[in-house]
Amino acid sequence: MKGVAGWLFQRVTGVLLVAGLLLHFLVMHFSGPEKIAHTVVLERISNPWWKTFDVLFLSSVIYHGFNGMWGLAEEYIRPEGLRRAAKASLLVMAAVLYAVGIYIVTLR
Amino acid sequence: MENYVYRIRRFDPEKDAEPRWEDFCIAMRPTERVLDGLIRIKDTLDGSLTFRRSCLHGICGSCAMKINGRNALACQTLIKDVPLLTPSSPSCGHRGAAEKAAAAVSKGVIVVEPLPALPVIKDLVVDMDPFFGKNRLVLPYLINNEPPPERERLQSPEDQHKILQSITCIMCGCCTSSCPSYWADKEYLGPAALVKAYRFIGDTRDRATEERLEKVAQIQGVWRCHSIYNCVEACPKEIDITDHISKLKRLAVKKRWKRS
Repeated sequence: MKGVAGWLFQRVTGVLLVAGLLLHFLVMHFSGPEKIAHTVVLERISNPWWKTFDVLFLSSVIYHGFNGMWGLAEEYIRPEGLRRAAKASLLVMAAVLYAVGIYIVTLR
Repeated sequence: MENYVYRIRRFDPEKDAEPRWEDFCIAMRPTERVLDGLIRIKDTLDGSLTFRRSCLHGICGSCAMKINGRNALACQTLIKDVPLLTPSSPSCGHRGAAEKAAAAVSKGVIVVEPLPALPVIKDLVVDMDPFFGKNRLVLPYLINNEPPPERERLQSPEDQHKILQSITCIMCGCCTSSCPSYWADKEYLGPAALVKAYRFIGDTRDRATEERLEKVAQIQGVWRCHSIYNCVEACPKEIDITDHISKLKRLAVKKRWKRS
């Protein structure tokens, strides 16, 4: 059997994304303007629980998005060379974005 | 009786380099079937028109074709139920003057094409070998090495009900050839083969569930299905094919984590 974990993980990260997005909206857009002031935000993002959430959210986004793109490349790019190139560049993009994300989360 | 224009996608491998369109104007009753028109055209207008048909009653699955953009059995599609194209619509365009005039006095145009994604042999006849080949891959037969009982392997009505839908498949090919995932990847097993796999995996008398799941839970098996539902729309037997494939996905997940 192949592809079971990949498929299940796509579903799980999808659910995490919906939950995470809801939380993000509550905190960023419905908690009042005083909660998004510079000092308050700095304090929040240095909280280890928020860091955990951010890493989880980031991992979900990167996996979910790039797994989807990977599937598109796999199924719809027919010339083999082009498909390999597309998949390689997807891996690079995912790695770079993940690194940048982790860097930002661990800044403070 | 009303006049209808049949616009048929034709291809004769001995004469044509490319498929071409041909119009036939015939009188039909709205309660007749699309297949009746094809038979009438073959009998009275052009004996070279080639298509498969056998039982004429939606059981053999031979006359699957694309009718006004939708895969269906021609023997099960009534003229009155076909969304007719008007002779002036763009998709009916660039005809000769005579054909245009004939179309103008008709009730509408019925576009008939062979099933998509399968190689055309002649006119509306497609090569079903790739389709049946996929079916063979999922071991479409009962596997049970236990000694058979005196009379037969019995099944309770409840157990039979679990696979009732998948049993009604007549393997006409409407679903697989309507599936965008199959269009993009001809190695994909396709909805029909997956329904067949489910038919035996869900059968309480069968003992080869593991073996079949192994064949089906592959990149070019169930995971190629993205729940597009074209198959469900096309199926002339109204099988909820996508639901069956989802059940196979669930079984694969369960089996994967039971083992380790």
